[in-house]
Amino acid sequence: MLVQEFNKHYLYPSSLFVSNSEVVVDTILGSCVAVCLFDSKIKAGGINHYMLPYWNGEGLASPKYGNIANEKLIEKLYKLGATKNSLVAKVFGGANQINSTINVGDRNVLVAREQLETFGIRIISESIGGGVGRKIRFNTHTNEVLLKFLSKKEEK
Amino acid sequence: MNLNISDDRNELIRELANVNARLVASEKLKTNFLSNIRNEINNPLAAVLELSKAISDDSLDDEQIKKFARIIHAEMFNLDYQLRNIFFSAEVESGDLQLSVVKVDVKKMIKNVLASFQHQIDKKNLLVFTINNIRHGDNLFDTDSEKLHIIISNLVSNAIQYSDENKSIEIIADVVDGQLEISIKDYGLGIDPENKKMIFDRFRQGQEGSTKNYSGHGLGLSVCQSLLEIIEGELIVQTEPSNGSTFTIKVKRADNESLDDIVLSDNGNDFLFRDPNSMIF
Repeated sequence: MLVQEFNKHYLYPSSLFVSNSEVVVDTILGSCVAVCLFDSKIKAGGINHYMLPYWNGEGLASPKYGNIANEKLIEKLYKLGATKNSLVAKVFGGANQINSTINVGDRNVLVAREQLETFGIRIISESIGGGVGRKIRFNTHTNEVLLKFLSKKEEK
Repeated sequence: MNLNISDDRNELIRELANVNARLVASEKLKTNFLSNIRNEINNPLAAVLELSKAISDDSLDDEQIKKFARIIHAEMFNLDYQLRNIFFSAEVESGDLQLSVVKVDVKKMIKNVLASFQHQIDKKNLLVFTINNIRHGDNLFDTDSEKLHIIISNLVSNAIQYSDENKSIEIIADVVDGQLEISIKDYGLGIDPENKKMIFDRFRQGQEGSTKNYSGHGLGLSVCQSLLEIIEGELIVQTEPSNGSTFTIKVKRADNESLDDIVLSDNGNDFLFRDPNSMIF
């Protein structure tokens, strides 16, 4: 039996990954959000993993923050030749910790929706919110996302 | 009830105005940085071009050659250090940084960093004390070597830069509960309490404007902060104006935990988001 070997990449929080060849990207989300973008014409995909909704001027303007992570991800795909019309988005994560009053998860999801709308990119599927974390595996060449929920204890 | 809502809203509007002011300021700093960077690169390069030409002219004695070589080294060392911070901050901001965990000999790393800064230490006649409390078995610490190196370099560089001449710097390293702790104390001018937060912002320094006495771009601590987040660490500052500062980093041991080790919930737990008929949750 043939087992197909993929190039693998583990995506850390505050970073992003874009490729126009086939790479399987894994990441683990709690209140963080990952936006997967895929351009069906050029068969290129990208994914980010951000922790907080907005950069407020503190520290470096890194993709730890949603507004920066989403913009950078879109820019990088444009550089590969993606276009607004052929890009679609999937949004994952944004779970809320029970004791948190500020609902970082919800706010992270809101930023993704607002920005994707501003850029005119359609969200075709999502699994967001709730109280448990997720592990996702994104294929940059097929736009397939495999999602598994973590058991409660493993929330990050 | 209505009053509360409007209070909340006013609070939000104030917060928004604050953040907005900070973002405008940050953009301005970036513009300043780009115009200053030219001098910061051109000046040392011009010096090195002149000095190396003088050396190759064959008219200098050995003492002079050595002196020029030392100046060239000091200038290039500083430029290299500044550029590294600039490149690291660019990498952090572009989201390209990867974690690469190896076993790091912390004691050796501190020694190497100090050796590389020796010429600056000598120039100010500083005494550096290193106290290594790391037990033998803990000396190889699992973390990202390159990132830890740039963090320690930045803290050592700051301690040297903000120390007065003939003072001392104390470095203490330990592993406590599986966590690496390195503290670097200087007896320099310390940090104004109101600046304690600002020093972590990019392109900011305790002293700014044309009258500032210190070189650099104000990137070091923001780079440290961002890199520490990546290697799961934190940075603690204790400081008193005119009585020096202590910067302490605490870094978790990277646990080589792979994705296979995480616990997924039981049955019925595979969702495939496939095109074109994706399910929308």
